[in-house]
Amino acid sequence: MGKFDHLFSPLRIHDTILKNRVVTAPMSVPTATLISTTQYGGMSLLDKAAGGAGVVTVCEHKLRSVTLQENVFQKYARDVTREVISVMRQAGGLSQIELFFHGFPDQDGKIPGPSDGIHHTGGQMKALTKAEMQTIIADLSQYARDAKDFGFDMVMLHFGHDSYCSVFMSPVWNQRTDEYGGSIENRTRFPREAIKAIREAVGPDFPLMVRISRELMVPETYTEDDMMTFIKSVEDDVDIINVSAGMDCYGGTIDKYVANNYAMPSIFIPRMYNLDFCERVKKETDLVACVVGSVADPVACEAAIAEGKVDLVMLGRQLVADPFWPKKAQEGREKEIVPCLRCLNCYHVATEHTNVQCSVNPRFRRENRVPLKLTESKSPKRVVIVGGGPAGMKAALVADERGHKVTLIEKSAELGGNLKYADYGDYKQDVVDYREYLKYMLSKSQVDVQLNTPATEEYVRSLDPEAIIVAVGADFITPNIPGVAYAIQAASVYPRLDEIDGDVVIIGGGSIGSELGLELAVRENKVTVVEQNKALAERSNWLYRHGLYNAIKDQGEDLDFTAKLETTVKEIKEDGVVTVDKDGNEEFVPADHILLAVGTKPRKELAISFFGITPETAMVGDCYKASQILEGTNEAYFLAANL
Amino acid sequence: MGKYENLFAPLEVRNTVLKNRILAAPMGVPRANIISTTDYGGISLYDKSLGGSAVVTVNEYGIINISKQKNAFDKYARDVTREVLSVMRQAGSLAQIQFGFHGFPDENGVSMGPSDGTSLTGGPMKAMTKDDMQAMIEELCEKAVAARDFGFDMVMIPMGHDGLGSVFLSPVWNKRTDEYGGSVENRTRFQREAIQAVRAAVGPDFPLMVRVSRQLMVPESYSEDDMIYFIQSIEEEVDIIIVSAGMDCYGGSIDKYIANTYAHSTIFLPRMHNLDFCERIKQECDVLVCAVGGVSDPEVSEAAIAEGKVDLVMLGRQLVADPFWPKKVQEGREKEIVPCIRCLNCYHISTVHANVQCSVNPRFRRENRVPLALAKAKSPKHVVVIGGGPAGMKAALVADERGHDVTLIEKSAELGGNLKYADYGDFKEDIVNYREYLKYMLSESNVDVQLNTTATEEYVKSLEPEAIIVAVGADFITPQISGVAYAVQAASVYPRLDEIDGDVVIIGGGSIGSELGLELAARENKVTIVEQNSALAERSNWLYRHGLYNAIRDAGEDLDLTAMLETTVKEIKEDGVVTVDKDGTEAFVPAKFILLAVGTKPRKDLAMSFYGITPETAMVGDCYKAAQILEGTNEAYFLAANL
Repeated sequence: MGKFDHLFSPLRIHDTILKNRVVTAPMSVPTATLISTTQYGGMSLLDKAAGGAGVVTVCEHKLRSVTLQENVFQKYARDVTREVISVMRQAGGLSQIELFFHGFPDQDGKIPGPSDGIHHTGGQMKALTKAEMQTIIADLSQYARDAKDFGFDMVMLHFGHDSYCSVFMSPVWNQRTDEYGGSIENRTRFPREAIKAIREAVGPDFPLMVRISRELMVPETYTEDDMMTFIKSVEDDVDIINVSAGMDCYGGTIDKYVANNYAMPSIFIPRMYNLDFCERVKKETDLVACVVGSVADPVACEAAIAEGKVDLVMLGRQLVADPFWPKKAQEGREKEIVPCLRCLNCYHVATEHTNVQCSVNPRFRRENRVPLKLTESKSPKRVVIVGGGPAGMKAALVADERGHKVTLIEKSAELGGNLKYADYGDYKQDVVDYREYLKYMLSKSQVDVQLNTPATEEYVRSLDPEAIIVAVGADFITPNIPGVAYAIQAASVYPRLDEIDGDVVIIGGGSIGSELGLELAVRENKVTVVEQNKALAERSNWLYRHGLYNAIKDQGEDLDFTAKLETTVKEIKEDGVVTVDKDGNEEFVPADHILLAVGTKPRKELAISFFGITPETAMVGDCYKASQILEGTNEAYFLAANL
Repeated sequence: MGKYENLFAPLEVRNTVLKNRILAAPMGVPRANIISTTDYGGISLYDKSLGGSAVVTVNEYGIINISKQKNAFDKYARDVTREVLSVMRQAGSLAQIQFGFHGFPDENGVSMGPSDGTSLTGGPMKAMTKDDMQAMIEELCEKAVAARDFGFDMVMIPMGHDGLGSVFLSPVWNKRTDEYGGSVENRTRFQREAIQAVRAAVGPDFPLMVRVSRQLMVPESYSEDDMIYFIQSIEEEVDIIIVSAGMDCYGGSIDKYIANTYAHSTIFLPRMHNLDFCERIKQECDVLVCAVGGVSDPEVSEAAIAEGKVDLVMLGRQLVADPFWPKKVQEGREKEIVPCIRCLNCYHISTVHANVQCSVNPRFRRENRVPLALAKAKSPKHVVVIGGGPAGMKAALVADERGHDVTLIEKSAELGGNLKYADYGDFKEDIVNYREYLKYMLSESNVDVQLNTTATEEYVKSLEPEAIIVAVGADFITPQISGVAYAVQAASVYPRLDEIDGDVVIIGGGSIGSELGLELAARENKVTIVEQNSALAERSNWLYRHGLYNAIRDAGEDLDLTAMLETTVKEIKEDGVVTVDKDGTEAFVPAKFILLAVGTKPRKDLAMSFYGITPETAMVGDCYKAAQILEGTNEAYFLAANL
């Protein structure tokens, strides 16, 4: 112990003891996982339960989708629920079930809420009668009581995000004129009555956690003061306040999920950004406060608890990246934690189910075919990996774990490939952490890392490899535009961001161009991004895009950032570019700096030159197909694991 | 390398590199396999992805079956498709998806095709309008682009078998009078427009394969010249032509699937029976060519590529028998390849789902309970296996793999049991290979093989076995017919087939009697088979039966083979037999040779004599129930694996 004394100190709530201060978040699993994993009703639940958290949480909703029953304590749901509890408790964590206090659409698509009108998801909202509200409270109380009786250790009430609590507290959505609308006392009455009834149903000794959004991060929100008023009013009946922010499903279609980003933060939001409100809860009430949202760094967690800002930390996506975070921190192996990149690909809405994988954990949703630990190969091979970017590094680590004799050849003086640029950006701490994790793991491995070594066909052949993994990456594209010599590659300015002073034109508004544009504009340059598609970062996932758009919006009006969409560059001159919009209108945009961010092209010729040396040869990462860390990591894992 | 330099030479196709020349065929999985395996949308797809092929192929229908969506790229199908793709790529193979181009029956049972009339499956066929055709082309293009964007490396479009490509090209089924019927140019127009549209949609950098049937092997077929014309007309758009033959579902009921045995070759067809046409394409067209159908011998494959007859080979059923064929060849372990015996039981229509197993690979459709390698037993036992036929040999090998101390007792001078007769038949090379494989594996094992050793109860007891596996086989039945002494057992003539000269009567037209009859008739004898059932080989699977019937038909009119069905033998005389047909009519059939092929009878008395020595005693193979290699192998595996 020592370093993380506070994080790993027990906490008593009534007669229940949490062995440490780490709680796993309830996270849903896309339903269509038929073939990909053993389904326990929550993302990585099996591993999270083994990972050492003090409390493991399952979402009632998703548990129900496994049981195919209306209620997880109904006769034919009980076998599943029993097994899920057994899994949750398998390594000594307490089991918590998250119950919903939400209005879901009825058969006619109408969604119950405080008032008649438009629901925040875009559908029709129908005002609840008082009788209906009492029924909801009675049902939820019974559900909480059933959970206790079935053997769950704690109940978490979801009063944040899209819940009745959020919608009733909103002075915009709640237009009631009875005792449930108007004043803050009235707008909090329904959730307060619910909590009091639930406390009565479960008795005084059963731990109750309540999740709230400190703010909804949309114009219709209540204030943080409103939320404090509510929390104080339930202080006697609640044990733990779990502080989140934002909403789910605001706007009802994916291109309007703008508040989702605060509930599931992207790279554009600071880590533990709900900590200040936790501190306020601690100061103004006697409640236990639990922070959620981008909790990743155990050192920061320890400090926050030690300084009295918070009592518990709840981890979500970080436990997808590495479910063993608690154990590794507890054992002083925090450098072995696989950092979450906050790419949010694990959340199915990010790609509308197209690419639900974890960028850094191939076992995510694949407990059935990715073991916790690989077995040693019976016939160790000489494996040569060409290229020390993220895919090459991952392949080397996995091949090493299998007991192969691995040589990793990198032509530059440093490992990391294109991740080196992450050092300079404002939004790249997660990527830096991941790169450093890979480098640390390589330093502890048996891999022979050869830096400053160009991999020629002859050199690779001379190593007499039995298997070759080609991970030579991609080149930045220089487009065929007249005057392109006046432009430089966007990536090349990263090491000297502060030297860029003046008007900037960035050709290409994918993720690289957009992020760089934002960073340069924040540094008080006038920035114009010219993009041929209809939106910035159009090929990135939806949650990244909303994060980017929100980050631009949140900078306020002083930011001098212009995106010229559906526009191409016809000519580059010494002092600016000539653009053509979709209607054919030409315009000259003056610039002191012209940057190219039009994508990358796999180094196919170089990659192909390593085929023919040994039959066991494959490409991985950007030289196979230009993509992201996600594809490189997952492909590298499987390739190396099967050597 | 060395021996298989050409088979393992990389091949570049539009910036995509195939690491070798081996492709895994798309193969459908029978639906009702809920309990038997993890279903990744194709037969043995998981193992085939590990086995070392350059390209692994999945059929879109397979994915649709799992995801229950209409299209593999629909929102709620994507999670499944992503996981299937990840599995396909897990050991560095490229991932290919095959789309249908078929006029499947609608809810009213009406198929779409070139003309109004009867479809190839026997139902009503409705002529496609030009709009129908355009819609189908557009759908195919959308899917191809979706596949490319989703991450598949190649797309395969089936223009063979029962697809619209075959039906439109047929001058019989295609009666159109517009620009899509009549001349070969017109009969290939729809297919050509589809291919050209797909190429335009996916762009110039994406590899496309097209599978064709060189001929449909039914009277309605087009000619091979027609097919050459079609290939020449699409050679700019297509990269690889895969050459198959025959059809699926011709006639629409199982007793009419006569063209199926050319698409899925039986023992009655030569290996690689499409190679000549591949060579013709290589000579007359500018396109890469891939042979499919009866590809099993790596040396033959290597020679065919070296001699320029073909560029690639695609393996189907052989990869069911042994998905690790490519890896074993690559590593010079080709003698360890488990040969496919072309029984076609793995294809569900063979037995109408009654017995979908692989004769030689117990892991087929049982990845969940048959591991790739067995764990060593914690308490090795002395295991005595009695009988060196296929079941006994398999049991000995599996028990040895588990680390038991195994003694295999065989009374004759050679291992193989009844497989010894395979040496002499024309259709038994696959069986010979399988027997030799078993013998080779035994020679490499620690099994104590005792030849020329009669297993008496005393002798077995003296070995102090802790487990006994009884695999003593069956006897050929000598029927109770008067004069039976004038007849000899059919099997006994195998070693002297060429000495049989004169009229032959074979009593019993099961598979043994029928095959022997065909072989003797092919040697210009007059052969009469007397069979009490209503068809030859009535108890064999449907594809075997069609293969047999086609082989008899294909031998031509000179073949003097008569089957007297629903007929029994009343008396055997020195110079012939007296038969009685179902109406009671007697006939005398003169014969110089009278052969008995009325089946086998388990050696139950002998088998039972080994019970009581040790409690761990079981029968396997023909002494348990007279059956085929399939039953013996699968039962022997499980029995020995669980010792």
